[in-house]
Parts: sequence; C-alpha cells; structure tokens
Amino acid sequence: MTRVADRFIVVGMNTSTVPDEIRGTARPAADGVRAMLPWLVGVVPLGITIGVATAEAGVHPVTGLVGGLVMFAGSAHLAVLDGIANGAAGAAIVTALAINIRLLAYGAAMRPFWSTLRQGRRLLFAALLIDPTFANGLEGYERHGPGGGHHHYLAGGIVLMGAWLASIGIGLAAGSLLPDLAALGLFMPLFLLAEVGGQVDDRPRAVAALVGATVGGLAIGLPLQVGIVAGIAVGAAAGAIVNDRESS
Amino acid sequence: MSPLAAILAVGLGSFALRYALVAFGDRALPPVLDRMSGLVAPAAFSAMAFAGLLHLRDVHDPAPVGDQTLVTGGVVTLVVARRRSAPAALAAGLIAAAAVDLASGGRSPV
Repeated sequence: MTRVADRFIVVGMNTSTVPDEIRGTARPAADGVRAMLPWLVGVVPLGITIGVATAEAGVHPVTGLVGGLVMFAGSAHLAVLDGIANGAAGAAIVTALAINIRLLAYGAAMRPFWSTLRQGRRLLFAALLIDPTFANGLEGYERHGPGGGHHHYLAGGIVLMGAWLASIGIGLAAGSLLPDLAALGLFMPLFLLAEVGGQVDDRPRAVAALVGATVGGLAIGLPLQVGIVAGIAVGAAAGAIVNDRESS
Repeated sequence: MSPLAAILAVGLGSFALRYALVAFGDRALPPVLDRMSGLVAPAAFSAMAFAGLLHLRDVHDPAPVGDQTLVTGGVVTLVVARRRSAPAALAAGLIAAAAVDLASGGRSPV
C-alpha cells in the first residue's frame, strides 16, 4: 500500500499534490500490518491449538470459527472449550469473562484516542481490542497521531483477525497431524516483555511495569488469571502515584 | 447449554468489557481511572510476560534450579532496559533460550 504514495515521489511529483486520503492512510496502514507480523509467530500456534481443542471437544467447526470471531481471545476461548468438553459450560463462561476482564482496562486506555470516532467505528475498533492490537494501536497513535493511528490500528487488527481465524481453521482441519507447538509458547511472553521496552520511557511507566510484573508473578497461583488483573491494577495505580508525586 | 450458546455468551460479555469504557466517549471518567489508564500498557504487558514465563517454568521445568525460562526472561529484560528495542530484545531472548537449551542438553522447552 505504501507504494501508491511512494510512486509519486519516484516520478518526481511534488508530494503535496498527493491526495491527503492516500498520503494519510497508506503509510500508517502498512506500518500497522508490518508491526503486527511478529505477533503472529506467537498467535498462530495458539490459534492452531484452539482449532485442535475445538475438534477434540466435539464442537462443530463453524461454531468454533464463530467463537474465534466473537471471542477473539485465546485464553478465554480455551477456557470455554475446556468447560464444554467437561460439561461445565456455565462455569466456563464465568471463567472466560474473568480472564478477559483486563479488556476493560484496555478500553479505558484506548478511550482518549477513540472518543472522536463515529459510533460504528468505535464498535468495530472495540471488537478488535486484544493484547496485540492494544500494543500495536498505542504504537500507531504515538507514531502517526490520531488520524494515521486509526489506520495503523485497524490494519493491524484486520491482519490479526484474519490470521487468527485461519489458524483456528488449520487446527480444525489438520488436527492431530500437526506437530506439538508447545515450544512456541515461550515466544508470546518474550514478545510482551520486549514490548514493555517500548512503553517504559519515564519513571511512572517503569514503576507500573516493575510492580505489574512483581504482582503478576507472585499471584500466578491464583485462579482465573486473577494475578494478571491484579498486576495491571496495582501496577497502574503505583505508576499513577509516582506520576502524582512528580507532578506536585 | 449448547456450545454455541456458551461461545456467544462469552463473545457478548467480552465485547461488553472491551466497549464499556470506550462508550464513555469524551465524557470524563472518574479521575482515578483517568490517571491509571495511561499506565495500563506497561503494567499489563509486564504482568502477562512474567506470569507467562513462570507458567512455562511450571509446565516444562518444575525443578527449582536450572530455571532456563527465567534466565531467558532476564536477558530480555536487560536488553529492553539498555536498547529499548523490542526486536533486539526478542532476538536476544530467543538466542538465550536456544543457548541455555544447548547447555542443558535439550531439557528446556525451547
């Protein structure tokens, strides 16, 4: 997509004549796609695992794909499949929503960027909100500002959703023929840790990261991924306290 | 309850969680939430990363010594702190994981 804008430069055309719509959309969208690609190394194996688990739970493939579309969250999806397989779907709903409660915090963080969007776009953007798109979106808004940031976020989100559904489909279709992908489980935490590097550029953020990691690590034994939610809440609160002290 | 009903219920609930605070638009949130919202990303990613690394340790390497995953996490943390580059940190982490794996005779998950 960037080639459209770049072509004007190659032929010597003044870039100011490039319509804003092209100039303002192509580069951020391409950046959004590019930034999302490394995440797929961790996301695709998880999607395939979910596809295999869906088949093993006796869930219809179409229902499995609908699940990928509407839940768009790996851990919660696995929890639901586990509940269905064990005849405890009601409890699995509660578990999955408890796991996803961090999305509430992500929504709070993205709200300032999306407040000027039309209602329909806000709904679409919220539907795509999950860990990789959250990180990708923040990077996009920082790099391109509000206008370009929207395209960056949306392009990355569409790529992630496409890869997610495709990988679930592969897991459904190929099932036990696929190799064990457990070793790739290391990739996602490492990538998240590496992403923290892009987030930590002042003391409040450093404190939020440090406290979040400590609480998340210490509380790992708690059920329903409560430790992660506690890490987010306590980490963000600690960072806010440091921020308040520095401001006063 | 049918599988489809359970999946749709979680999908609907998850969307409500995603959208609940976005729906506020440009109306003011409670000040506490407003101050914390900008710090969600570093807190969330570090909490998930460390919980994920510790979980892998539990699954693949329950022994209290020879904790290869945490060594890898330490390398990534160091590179993040010094270089502030996600790709560099990731590459260093994967190299460290492979190196530790070789040193331990292939007992670690990577």
